[in-house]
Amino acid sequence: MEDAPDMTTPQHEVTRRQVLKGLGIAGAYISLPGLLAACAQATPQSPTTSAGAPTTTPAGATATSAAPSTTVGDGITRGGTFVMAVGVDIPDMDPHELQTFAMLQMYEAPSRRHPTNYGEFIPTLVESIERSNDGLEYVLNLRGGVTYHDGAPFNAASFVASLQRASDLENEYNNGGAAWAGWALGNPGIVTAIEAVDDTTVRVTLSEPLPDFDFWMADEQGGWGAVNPAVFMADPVGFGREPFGAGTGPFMFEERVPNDHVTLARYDGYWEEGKPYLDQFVLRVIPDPGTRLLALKNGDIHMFDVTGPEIAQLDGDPDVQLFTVPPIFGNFVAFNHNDPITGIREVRQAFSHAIDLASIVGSLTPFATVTPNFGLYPGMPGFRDDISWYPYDPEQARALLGQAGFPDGVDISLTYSIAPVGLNADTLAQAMQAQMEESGFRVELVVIDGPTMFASSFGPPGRPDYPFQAALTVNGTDGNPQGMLFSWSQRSNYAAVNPTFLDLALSTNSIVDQAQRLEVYSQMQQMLFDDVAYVPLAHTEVVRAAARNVRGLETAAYHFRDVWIET
Amino acid sequence: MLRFGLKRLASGLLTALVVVTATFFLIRLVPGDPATAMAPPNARIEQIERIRQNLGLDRPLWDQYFIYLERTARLDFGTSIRTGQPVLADLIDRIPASVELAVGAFFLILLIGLPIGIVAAVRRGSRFDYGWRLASSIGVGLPVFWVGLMFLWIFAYLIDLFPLGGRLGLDARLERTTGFVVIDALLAGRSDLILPSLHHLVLPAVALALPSIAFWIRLMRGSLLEVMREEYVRTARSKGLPRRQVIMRHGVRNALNPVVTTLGFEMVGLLTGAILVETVFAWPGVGNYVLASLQSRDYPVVQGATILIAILYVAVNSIVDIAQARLDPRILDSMAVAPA
Repeated sequence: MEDAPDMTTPQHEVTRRQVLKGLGIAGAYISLPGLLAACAQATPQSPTTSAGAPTTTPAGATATSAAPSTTVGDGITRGGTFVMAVGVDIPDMDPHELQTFAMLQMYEAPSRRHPTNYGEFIPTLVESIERSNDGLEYVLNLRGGVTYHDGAPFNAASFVASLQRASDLENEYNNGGAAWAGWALGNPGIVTAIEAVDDTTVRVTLSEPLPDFDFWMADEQGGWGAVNPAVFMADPVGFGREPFGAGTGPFMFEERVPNDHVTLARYDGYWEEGKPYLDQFVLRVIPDPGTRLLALKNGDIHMFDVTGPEIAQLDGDPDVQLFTVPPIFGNFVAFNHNDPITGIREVRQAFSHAIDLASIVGSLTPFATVTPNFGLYPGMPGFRDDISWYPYDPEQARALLGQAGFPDGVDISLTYSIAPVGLNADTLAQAMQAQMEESGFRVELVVIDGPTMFASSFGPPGRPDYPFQAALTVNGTDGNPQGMLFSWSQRSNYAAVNPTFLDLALSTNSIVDQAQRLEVYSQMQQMLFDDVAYVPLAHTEVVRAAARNVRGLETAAYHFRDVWIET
Repeated sequence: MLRFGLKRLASGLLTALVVVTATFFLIRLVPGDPATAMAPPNARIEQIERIRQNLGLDRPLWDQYFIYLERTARLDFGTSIRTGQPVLADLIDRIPASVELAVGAFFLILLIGLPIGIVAAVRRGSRFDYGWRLASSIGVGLPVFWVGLMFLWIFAYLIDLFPLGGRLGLDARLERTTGFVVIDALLAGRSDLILPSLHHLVLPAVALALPSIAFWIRLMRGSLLEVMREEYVRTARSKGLPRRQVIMRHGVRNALNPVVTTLGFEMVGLLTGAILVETVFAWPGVGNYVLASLQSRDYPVVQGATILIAILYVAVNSIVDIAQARLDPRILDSMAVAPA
């Protein structure tokens, strides 16, 4: 994957990039939700099932299911061994080092993302969080009765030790690795103190307010995941390979076979009574998507994230359920605003008018939605649904090109890479190329590798340069509007030619008043539209394919505590 | 012979040095700063500097080169960006799986490719010959990933005869000692896992061997036909030796000479060229690892794997040359008469 989630503040930006680089590097082994928190009401919030009503259980799906183990009040017995396929190995399960789907099940943060509603958080390791009026102090009242997987009690002292390890490069147990604690590392000096007030209270002090601090505190893999100090002190760098006893989550580490699978087992001492339902949660490494598809149909696995033509092959399969879960990934076009061609507003507007997105997107996947406006996605707080993007109109596009000084059409290069999220970039780019010809755009497609695209896609806020004339790229969001809007000062050099936008973007970092923030969001979206700063294309949530006999998936965007296998 | 062996050894070392040197300079032609690439995006300048120092990148190029040579000699290829582990440790983790797969495929080549090639040569012009020549032409041309997926679809999905990837079932717990499943199973007293591991090996080994089998059928057939035209074979026939004896003792034995020397390279090819098979069959070997590293620009891994593969080829080349010289004294003779 090249680039992705845009939940960045100037300080956070790098952290998000880091998260995204992790995605790019790790590809499928991290399940994308790992990086994202949530925000606002959602678009297709409950799973969107495309296949028909449940029918037969896949032949082999039960073959890997252990005996059901939990019977709750409704008399239904829940349990089983759930196998999810991922594309790349899980080499390490230190949540301060890498991001993988396993970590979301093993470690817990003060809160966790709501499975369907963007921007809602569920208290996990805390009973409550108190924020001071000035936004500089957070008091975390820890939940009682929580234990690490080795039985040691979770308390303020252990949590502070874990937070300090993640946030302080000079900490003797800091692993020196990727250090995901962007809330601290990305904001040097902002986190001034992390201290245990008493056995069940932790206080975090900031030097200036962080409007999206709630998002950070719901990130199990961003430094907020509590790691048992006894475990990381015993082996600060290497414990992640076999993290026995390390977390507090519903599943605990059981076995890792390098490059093959990781097995997590239900933690019977989990604080939430009756949870999780599953006996085992297995992440099996299957690099090839075609093999993953066969494995699902064969019953060898229960689920995988679908990103390509497999959607069409599985759509309508009575033994498979296809559905979407947060986060959102969106394709868009970014421009070099200092280019003699794409620096002209009329050209960018003509570009927008030249694409019939409805026809393209409809043929690509049943799950994507044409993005109706730019800046935020529908459902996110502050989304301007009163702005409609420039519609498909080839004649208008030609006229605008004429106004821009290109009555005979214009040559333009569109650079892209094949990202494992969002729409199929190849198909999308080729369809756009064909359609835009009608409006006078002679588009040359340039394919580059994902890491190069990723590295080029991000820059400092107000970056002066952008290496591509036009680039088809992708972003991702957990629903944090501040981060997403801020990112448009980094994803091209638009903010360099519009300093007012940059000022607004920077101002969002310190505005904690919600109404005031929404007003700024509104202004930013208006600017993005007026200047045709970018061209929105389409967005979709993560598409998953699962066996029919898996239940509770509507709650499992990130966490599998409520999932079970029906036998 | 000793002199020849030493010469080959020196030549091999020189070739390895050239490869290692080329790898060093080529990797530095890639745009970008390796220290920045290895650092997390939000790394502070001090962190990047620390990485730069650790890599020796703050020193003059020649110093870097000699440090690199010294580390390479110790097989220290650095740390993988993607896994955070030493590259050598990662490779060692995965080499047993690749060796198992390569050995499995190698045996299939020996057991299927060579005998069919012999029979095809003996029955030259027969239906058997034409049939296998046609089949081998097709086999050579089939893309291995397609063959793999077809195998999985037919034998694992449709008729459920073989497992769908992996080395063992998920519920098979086996303590890793050597990394070779069969050996580890024996060491752990888990003989019940030997058959399942072989069961898992069949499809990927066949998929990997198939193009090679086709190639070896043609090679063995051609080599044997050539030998059978030699005068000493005709002499053997005229002496009235049984046909079987003529074919096996005088034909096949001599036809195997060029074949055997190429088999060494085949083994290395199977070891290093299984990327697609390992990917399709979720086989946790080196190929799979290198592919993932390439995709994520994990330079230390790419560099380490390149050097290891090159050294492997150089070593096999040297061994084959020495073996050939031992089998065929004419090679030594030609050296002896060569102008000084």
